Amino acid sequence: MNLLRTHAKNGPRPDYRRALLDSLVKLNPLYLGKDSPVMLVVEAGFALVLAMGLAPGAFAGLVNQARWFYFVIAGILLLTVWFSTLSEAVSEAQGRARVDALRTLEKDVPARKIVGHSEVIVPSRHLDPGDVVRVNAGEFIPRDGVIKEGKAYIDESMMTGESIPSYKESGGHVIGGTKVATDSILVTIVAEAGKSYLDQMISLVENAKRPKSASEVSLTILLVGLTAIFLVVCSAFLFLADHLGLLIDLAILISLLVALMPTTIGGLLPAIGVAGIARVGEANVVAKSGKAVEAAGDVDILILDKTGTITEGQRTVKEFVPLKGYTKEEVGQAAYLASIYDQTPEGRSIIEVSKENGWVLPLTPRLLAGKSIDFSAENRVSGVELFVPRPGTLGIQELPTAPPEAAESRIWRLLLDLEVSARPAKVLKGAVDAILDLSPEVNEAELLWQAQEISKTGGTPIAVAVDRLVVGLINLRDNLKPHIREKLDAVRATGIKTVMVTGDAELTARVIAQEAGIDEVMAGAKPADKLVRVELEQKRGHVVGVEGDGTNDAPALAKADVGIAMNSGTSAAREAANMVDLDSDPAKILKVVEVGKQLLMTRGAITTFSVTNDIAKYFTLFPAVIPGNPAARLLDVMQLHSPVTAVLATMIFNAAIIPALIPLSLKGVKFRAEPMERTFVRNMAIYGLGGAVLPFLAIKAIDLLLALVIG
Amino acid sequence: MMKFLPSVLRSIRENAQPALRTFAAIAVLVMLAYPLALLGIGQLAFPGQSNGSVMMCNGKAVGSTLIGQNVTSPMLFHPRPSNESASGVDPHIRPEAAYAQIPRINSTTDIDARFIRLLVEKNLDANRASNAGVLAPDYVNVNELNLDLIQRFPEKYPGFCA
Amino acid sequence: MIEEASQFVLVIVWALILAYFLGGYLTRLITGRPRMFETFLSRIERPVFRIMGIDPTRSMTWKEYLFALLSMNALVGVFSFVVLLAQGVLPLNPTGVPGTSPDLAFHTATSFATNTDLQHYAGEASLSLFSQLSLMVPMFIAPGTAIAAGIAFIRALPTSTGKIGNFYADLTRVVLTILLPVSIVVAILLNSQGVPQTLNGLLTTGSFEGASQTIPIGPVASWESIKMFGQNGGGFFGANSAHPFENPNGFTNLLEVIFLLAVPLAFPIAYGKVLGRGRGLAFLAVILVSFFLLFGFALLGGGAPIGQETRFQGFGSLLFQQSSIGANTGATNALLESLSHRATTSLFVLMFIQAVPGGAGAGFMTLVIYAILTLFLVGLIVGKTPEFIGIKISPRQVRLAVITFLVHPVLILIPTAIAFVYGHVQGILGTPTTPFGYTQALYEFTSAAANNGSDFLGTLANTPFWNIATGLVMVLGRYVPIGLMLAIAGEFSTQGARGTPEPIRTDGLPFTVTLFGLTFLLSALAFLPFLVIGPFVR
Repeated sequence: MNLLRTHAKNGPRPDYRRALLDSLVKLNPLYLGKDSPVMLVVEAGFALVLAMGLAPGAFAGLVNQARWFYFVIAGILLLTVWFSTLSEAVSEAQGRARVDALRTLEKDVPARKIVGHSEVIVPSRHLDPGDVVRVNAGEFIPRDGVIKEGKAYIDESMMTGESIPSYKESGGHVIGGTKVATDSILVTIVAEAGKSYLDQMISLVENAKRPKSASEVSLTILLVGLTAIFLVVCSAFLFLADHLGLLIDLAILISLLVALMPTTIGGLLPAIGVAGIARVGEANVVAKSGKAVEAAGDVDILILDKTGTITEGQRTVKEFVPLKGYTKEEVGQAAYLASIYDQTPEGRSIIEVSKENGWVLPLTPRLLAGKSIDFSAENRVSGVELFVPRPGTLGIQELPTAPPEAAESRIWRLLLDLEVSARPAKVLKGAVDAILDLSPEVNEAELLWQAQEISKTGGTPIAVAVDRLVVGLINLRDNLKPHIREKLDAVRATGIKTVMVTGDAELTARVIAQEAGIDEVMAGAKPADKLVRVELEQKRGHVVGVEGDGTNDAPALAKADVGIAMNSGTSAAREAANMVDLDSDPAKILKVVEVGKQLLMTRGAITTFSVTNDIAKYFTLFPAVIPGNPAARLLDVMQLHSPVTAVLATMIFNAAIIPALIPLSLKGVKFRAEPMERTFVRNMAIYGLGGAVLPFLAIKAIDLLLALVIG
Repeated sequence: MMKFLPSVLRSIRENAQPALRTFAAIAVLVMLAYPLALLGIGQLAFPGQSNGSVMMCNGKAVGSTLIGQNVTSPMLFHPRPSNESASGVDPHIRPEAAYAQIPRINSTTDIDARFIRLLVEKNLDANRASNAGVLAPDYVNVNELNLDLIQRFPEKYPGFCA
Repeated sequence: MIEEASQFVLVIVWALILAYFLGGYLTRLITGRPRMFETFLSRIERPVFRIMGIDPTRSMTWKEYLFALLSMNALVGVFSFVVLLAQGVLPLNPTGVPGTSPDLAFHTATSFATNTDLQHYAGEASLSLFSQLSLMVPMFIAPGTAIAAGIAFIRALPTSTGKIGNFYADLTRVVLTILLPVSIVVAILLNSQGVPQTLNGLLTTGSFEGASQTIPIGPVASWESIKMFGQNGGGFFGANSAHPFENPNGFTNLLEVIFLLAVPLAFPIAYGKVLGRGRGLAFLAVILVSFFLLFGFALLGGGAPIGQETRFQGFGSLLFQQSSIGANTGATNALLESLSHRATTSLFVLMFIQAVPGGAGAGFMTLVIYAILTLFLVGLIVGKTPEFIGIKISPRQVRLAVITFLVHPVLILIPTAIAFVYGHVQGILGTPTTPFGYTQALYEFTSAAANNGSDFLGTLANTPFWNIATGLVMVLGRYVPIGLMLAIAGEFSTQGARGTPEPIRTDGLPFTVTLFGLTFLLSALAFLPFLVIGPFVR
């Protein structure tokens, strides 16, 4: 994963030359009208002030300053608009660069495409619906399709968790990402290219095509509303001042209008949205809608899979627990025997631990010739079914000899008995109740009690039986992912409730949940339960985030406000989700939530900053609007050099603050794991009070500089 | 716009009945029952106040206690010039303004200045009492003061209350 | 100083005590839970509803509610218009006053129907007894309308049915069980203090010096009580509450102040009882702190005794003015001209904000608008879409709130500019325009748009332009915001408030401080320049 991340970071550099060009194209008023109404008004102001400089005669009574003043003001106004389009273009360039980097990470398998009578190897992303591909045993099906020819067992475990391959023949639907276990089939591709989600992200980055999310729409309405109010205020003032005999300069009044309008947030709003999507991309997550990124900030319930998200997903042996009359060693030996054909991580862990302890028995001929019993949802056990020879074909002399330390083992003696008797027998491990059904000769109370003790520690109890004797239990333990506790604590601090979904028993699940810092568990859950839960929480008014990889997860992913599919998952899941994690790291959803919050916080911070800025601007500009009026002196607390420098200083600040805040827009306001009340107070202090104070200082400073230059 | 017309018309039809009836019921209640009930209560319980707090002086109605009179005689207390207050008809003056008039009344009527001052303070106290507990400023009702003077010293005020 | 402070505290404490009980009663009306004396009350209401042909349990959508509200108000407006126009030929006209001009009739009818009660007619002298009695109808229905709308608004917040109540039932209950009984009690109290209650139009008496005087009189007590309790504010007499017959002493002065504040302050309390005490307290705190600060600001300006009544003097006048204009009642007990520029500024700010506390119902809804705007302006800062009472604020709600906020400056500034451009200010105040003349004109439209009713111009503005222009501003300033606010209520009424705290808790201190700050900031941003060149320059 780290490797991939590094790769992505070193991906194509943003194309800044194109960004520069784009920023100029975006100055087109038609574009601004659609995208940034606040900036459209600024541009109109620019045109008017420019006209005043070019033809002062046409504005008799409204032009009181030297001509250069109008050209300078017009220039600053145009610069203000350009800074805004530039910020947008830069964030788009960064977003595009990010997408290019992501392309290299896209899950791609080689596919044998049938062209004419021959097979051509092509990358799966180049397949189109209608193409026919051959898939041989052991190969992945490149994309969803229908079997055209042949029949095969398909391993769909990655999608259903069902380890028994399912049988499919001509006409059957096969799912991309699943594996052909036996035989060879011809598949007609039916699905669109899976990479379409990357295309979706590209169009999100290309701002013009980006559908605005709810909070962006609301914010735009608010900004347009404020702009409208200031338009009314300034034009009414123009008329009234005239009748009061006040000498008004139109350019200064336009400056007041522009300064009061929320140009800072109006200019940076598009950039912030694009930057949010790009930041998600930085985490190697492809967002298919901007809305989903934003909704991630609003998530207040996260439904997380236990396996893979909270725990490593690989259960390992913690200890062997003997039943009365047996030793740890004997349980280890039995577990070893039951796992010899088991290729699952758990099986390998058992073998490893048994070997480490030297609790290994030689394999008898009946075991060697035995048949593997694979785990399935129905039988919920796995192990070996001993070979049943025809009577007399095996001689006792062919038996291997046990190591001296194992000679006393009851398991070994049992094996020897079985070799001799040649009756049908099994060595099994599996769910406690399933073993109980198969091996009734056991102290049931003791077994259940021991199993419960294991559950209490958060382990999964696996019973081990040889023939009909239950020997003991394996305490299988799924380890927590590193740092999951800290991550979940951070999530909880911001008021998000976490729900863990697992097929485990209640008791086990609760222990894990407690250790990881999960609020609630859905134990014994079937995949379909996820959807039910999502719908329930949404009905209660919550915003729900889910992650998943299987086709069974697809409905929940589609229904959730934020659905993140693993790139390793099935294409059905990837299509249904509104985000795809290319690293297939289920814990990534926590990162996405953080980015979503940052996106909203940045919008809020700059809006607040924009509005509180206005306080200072009234004090710096308004005296210049009505110079000489006794009331102007009341407001002139700033003692700026002259009305001309006051206007210029304010407008320079107003324009310069946009590029100054571009880095913040792109990077986002820092996210902290803390109660929202605290975030509110701190951010209000920084961006609200800061927004009120900063312009006083900055404008005064610029004014002092201008006073040196001008006069 | 034409699309909404039928639904607007339907709404008007639906609302006409209840709106008219509710209006009529409330109208009868508040423009007839309400003032008439208060009229009855007022005329029975507070006939003086209800009819304008008329002052009787020697059996003659000489105006309302609450409405200032444009008194010209130097023998009586004068209210503020009518254009100085908000209503222009209030009979109230500050205590200082009343005290300031005492020498003039004393010199024109020969009533003991200390006694006049006593009457002013009595009026002041009465007003304080009527504003009991609400901390209103001190003021003097010129009408009441003049009435007091005329009724106490009919011989000094011949021709008044005529 | 101590006396004055105690007087202030006395008024606020009494107003809050009344508001507490009224708030409890409003809560019952909002939720439909049994009221005190429920059996008695419903026994009275049942036959009334039967006569009206109303099923009080038939709940309406916000559109139906608004339509019913508008129908009722249209009826009231037309009724008043016709009565004023025709008072010359109608009965109960002992003094023989003629019908008013059509534009004055339009102005007065809209003025009373919209709870503004701006008066361009010459008080007692231009109305017949019949007109005076007829105006009782709008004086009850106008506040009843706003209180009903406020009730429906709060009712809409926790529901998810899309239904916000029955307008006719709400109006009837408000008039019958709140406005009428309290008005009767207040009228009797006023009556006992010297406020007349008679059907005679003139009192003819002698005088100390033998002259004869005719004193206008009438059913003043019944008028005065609903004038204050219903935030109407239009005087029986031209002099309004400065007139000794309307407001005879210091006790009645405070009584009127306390009762005009009661219902506006009851609304945040009712809201708190329905949606959580803390939320109500937050709004109440914003109202009281704003009110206190603006009053303090006004006090610092001092004031001239000219234009004030001796029985109230500076503090009593200012307290009355501040409360009356803050609650959008608009009654005055002194000449506005007597106020310092600070006090005038303070009154302007109260009318610009319209919500501290604002008129009954309307003021509360306006404060919710400020809350929504505040939440959206700064709320994203915590990284979540802002919520109000646990419901995400939708773009539609923001649009409605922004338009509601926009209506006020538009209705004040554009007509004022028009009045200047077409010479109507100069026409009645002369040229050149002084800052004070400008202040008077700005005040007239501000008062009209805020449905306040106090004014400088008075009968001077009885010209077709001023009558029609302010009439239109009053109508738009009343029904456009009510319509928009009911639309917002409609949005909430389908979602059902959740019990969960919002990202920014609307019952917390940080929100309260922010709401206070942004309410003032938004108003200042829109209106500061107009204050600077007018009221500041006195």
